[in-house]
Amino acid sequence: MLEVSEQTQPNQPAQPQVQTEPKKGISWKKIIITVVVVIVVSGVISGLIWYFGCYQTESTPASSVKVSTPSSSQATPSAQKNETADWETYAADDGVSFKYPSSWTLNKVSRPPGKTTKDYVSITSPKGFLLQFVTGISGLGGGGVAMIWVVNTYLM
Amino acid sequence: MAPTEDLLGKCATEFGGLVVVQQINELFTTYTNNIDMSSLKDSRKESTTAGGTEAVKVTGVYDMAEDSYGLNGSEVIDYYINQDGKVLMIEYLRKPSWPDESDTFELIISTFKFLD
Repeated sequence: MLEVSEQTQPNQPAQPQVQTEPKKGISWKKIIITVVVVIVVSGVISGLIWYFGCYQTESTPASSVKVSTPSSSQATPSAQKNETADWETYAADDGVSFKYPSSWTLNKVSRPPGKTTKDYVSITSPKGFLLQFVTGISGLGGGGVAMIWVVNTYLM
Repeated sequence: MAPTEDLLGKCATEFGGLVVVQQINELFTTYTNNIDMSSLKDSRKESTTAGGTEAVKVTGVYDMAEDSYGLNGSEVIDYYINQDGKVLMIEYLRKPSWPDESDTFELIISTFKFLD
């Protein structure tokens, strides 16, 4: 029993020694590998965060541009209001009103009685663009396209 | 249709363009459903609003077989506005040689309204 125990005793300490040395080696490797992996992964993650952060930062104006498109369309009426703020306003007797550039010239023309048309106004731009407000024309028939011929003929 | 004094002797080609506002004694729905756009190329018809009321906008370029009035190539923008069930037409006409005032025209349309 003693011999056996003596034989087993030297073997028993040897086993822990053999087991502890590899354990220490493997754990350091694991630690080193883990640290390296953590550094690499954190580096990659940081890079990705930086990249996408920059991308998002750069895309923010682009997205704001896209967002500003509807807002610009919303701003368009206000821009139009600003643009037409100093325009002249014409209000017709029959309940129609519109604004026109103040640089344009408005002429009120009285029509002789008995004609198919009533009085009308013409608004001419400095470039010679003419706006006519003709009321009381009815029964001329045809499409709206044909109507211009009447006025155009008149201008000739 | 006598011309005014300032227009006397002038030809339409002297003008930069033409906008006509005119009431048409036709029912709005019937009229706008039967607008003849055969004389226009690149024509487009769309529902819109003007003066806070429903309207139909027709755009295109004149392209007629018989161009008696020399309008071929002219840009046209028509607004047909529902005025108490009848038609109020506002038309923009620009010959190719005339300056483009369509932006101003659209601004004028944006300020258009019916008075109470």
